[in-house]
Amino acid sequence: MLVKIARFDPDTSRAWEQEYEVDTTKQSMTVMDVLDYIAKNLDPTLAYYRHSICNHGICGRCVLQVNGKTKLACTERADGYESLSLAPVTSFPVVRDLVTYNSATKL
Amino acid sequence: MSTRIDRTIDTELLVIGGSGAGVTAAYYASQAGTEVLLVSKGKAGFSGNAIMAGGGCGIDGESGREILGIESADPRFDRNKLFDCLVKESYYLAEQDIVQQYVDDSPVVLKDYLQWAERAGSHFVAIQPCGWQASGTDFAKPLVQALKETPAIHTLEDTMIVDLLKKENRIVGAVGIHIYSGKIIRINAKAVVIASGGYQLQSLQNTVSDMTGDGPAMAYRAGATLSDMEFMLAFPTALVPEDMRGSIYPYLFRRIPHRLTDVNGDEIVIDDDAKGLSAESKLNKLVNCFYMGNAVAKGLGGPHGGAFWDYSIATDEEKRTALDQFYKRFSKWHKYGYYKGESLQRVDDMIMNNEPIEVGLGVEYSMGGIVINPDMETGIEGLYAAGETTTGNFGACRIGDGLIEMLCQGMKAGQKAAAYCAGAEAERADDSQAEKIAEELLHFFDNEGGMNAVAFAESITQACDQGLKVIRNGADIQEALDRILALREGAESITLKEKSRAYNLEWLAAVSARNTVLCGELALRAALERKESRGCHIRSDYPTVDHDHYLFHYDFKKTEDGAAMSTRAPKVTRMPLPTGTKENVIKYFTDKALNYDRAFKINFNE
Ligand SMILES: Cc1cc2nc3c(=O)[nH]c(=O)nc-3n(C[C@H](O)[C@H](O)[C@H](O)COP(=O)(O)OP(=O)(O)OC[C@H]3O[C@@H](n4cnc5c(N)ncnc54)[C@H](O)[C@@H]3O)c2cc1C
Ligand code: FES
Repeated sequence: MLVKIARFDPDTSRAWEQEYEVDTTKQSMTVMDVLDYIAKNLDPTLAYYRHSICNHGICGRCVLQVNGKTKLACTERADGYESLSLAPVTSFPVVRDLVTYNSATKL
Repeated sequence: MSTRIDRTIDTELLVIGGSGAGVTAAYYASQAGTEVLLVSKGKAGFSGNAIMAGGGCGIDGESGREILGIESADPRFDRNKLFDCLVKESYYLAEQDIVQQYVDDSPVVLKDYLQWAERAGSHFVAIQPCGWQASGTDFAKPLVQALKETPAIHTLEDTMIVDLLKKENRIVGAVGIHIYSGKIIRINAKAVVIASGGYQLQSLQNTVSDMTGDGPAMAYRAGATLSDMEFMLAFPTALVPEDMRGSIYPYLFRRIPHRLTDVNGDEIVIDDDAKGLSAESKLNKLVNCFYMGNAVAKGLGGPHGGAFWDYSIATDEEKRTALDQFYKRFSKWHKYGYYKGESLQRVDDMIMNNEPIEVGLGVEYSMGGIVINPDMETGIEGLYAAGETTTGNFGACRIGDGLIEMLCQGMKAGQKAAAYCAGAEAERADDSQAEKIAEELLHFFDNEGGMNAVAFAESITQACDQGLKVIRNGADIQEALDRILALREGAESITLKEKSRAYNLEWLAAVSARNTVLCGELALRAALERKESRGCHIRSDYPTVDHDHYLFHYDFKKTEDGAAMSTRAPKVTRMPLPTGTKENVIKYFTDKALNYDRAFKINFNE
């Protein structure tokens, strides 16, 4: 499956779209599984919400846009899509790639 | 002077961890007039494993009546009985003075906690003899409420504390990374409470992703003792559908009649006396580990490494009724037909269609951790610890409640640390020390040619999967230990492809790796030495529970030559230690002479 990800580098403010090819036919996967697969096998530089996560739709922190709709990466199944287009939500400022600044802490 | 520290914060008490143990420590210290900064890797009040809780928690019925005024509490399960159960459940490895603190202080802290819960609108359902069932979210809401009502507590979220700062032999602060910005934060404090939860080293995860053993590892590096690292509690955890891997729906569906089968469809026979243990009691997790784990250890596991739950022994009507009752009961907390954020429809279909469901055993709780006394002191001046990051309360097997432990130990740590702060002068660690920690963090960006951080973390997990299985054996433990020791050599040369500091997962993985490597090493070394079975340490090559030779803790302390191991007998206050042997961890409980009785049927259909 073709996975397109909106990327952003805060150090240079460069924004670009990157494409990955992920085999989603071997087992059923969530969008989080797809992201984990990319980080482990294709591109470790990818930033997506992964610290302090529940992975089962409880904490609500893995929110992102999947083909234009706001979803939780950990509960959204990839099987139903022909291709994936992933982008950060627009409600908070982007930190890097798919991660937005969603915290009470201001530094 | 140029510095690698991006921001310095001064406070009186630093609390590390933003879940139950951290929030209660912060709350009671703040009530005592101490200035508190709570730093949390996750959301303050809403992170850690408390949000994952699936069952409930409780205290003895006597205290429930007398201290909390709960009419429905059953006083027959009294303080003595709870103490007796906890010590026996620990395989006598619990520190009896710490168990006493748990029994005595839990009703006290619950008084406040239940009020926060009420104001937060948490939905708790009463269970016998005196307990509460709720979702993890509802268990965490009171913590958010406590923070909201106590604005004097400062919080710093999404910040991972990495190492402690020392002035001579006293802990006076810590250094961490603000995860979003990658900034390095120094905190100066009179004292520190570590409340950062347990360690989870295996690949089948039902915990939050925070559990990289940061607390035990930083305490160890600062000179504290770690112990009981080989004991970790596993329970039935989803393997399928693969996208639900890690869900605890199997555990929640355990009351729907089923039999255990292996990959060939043959029944995994549970002995009658063990069945009795498992039926309604809290020993269900141990029984599942023993029987499911043994089948898998014999090579009879399924393609995902689990055993099978075959629901075909129940009629369609029985199954439908049980499932609908479950949904109805849980719709108080979750969408009808859902558990947490996941639909149970496909699982429901498999159950109704008599399709055996492959189920794994995922580690839920780590019994090992930082050695403390009943005042939550670590033996290092200015350093306290509370909650799952500690050890001593549950010994070799936790049957009591992690949620209760986090609250009563957090309260105690907050009170004791506040009293200490009131009489202590503020001291600062030498700047060179903070700079050195920062340099150790930043050097990863300059490394070249080393292993990739994500792959490194994966290798640690694989080694732990091999050596720290639910049913272990000496050869696998040794091989896993060799793998971990080889990996340890490469930990400092981990190389990052991404050079930006902001939300850099590779960097976080590299920084966490030395903590997981350490916890893995110590767990494996203790598991190898413990040539017996006890609680959640079950060895196929040494199945016997051997009180005569192994009724002690394996402690670890940092020395110049690495971690030095020693043994220590459990502290006895009331119940003398047993002698002799028991055939295996199940026979230990079925032995009438143990006189174990926590027999409280939980009525789930009210
Ligand atoms: C699936 C599951 C179900 C469970 N069900 C139950 C149940 O039904 N009943 C029960 O009694 N117990 C249950 N438990 C156990 C219970 O949830 C834990 O024992 C309890 O949450 C521990 O509380 P804690 O405050 O010590 O740590 P946690 O709740 O794990 O919180 C740790 C905190 O420390 C933070 N942290 C971690 N590392 C750092 C760092 N380096 N710097 C700063 N902050 C850090 C985390 O972000 C988090 O805020 C369950 C556990 C799991 C995994
Ligand atoms: S990771 Fe918690 S909701 Fe997705």
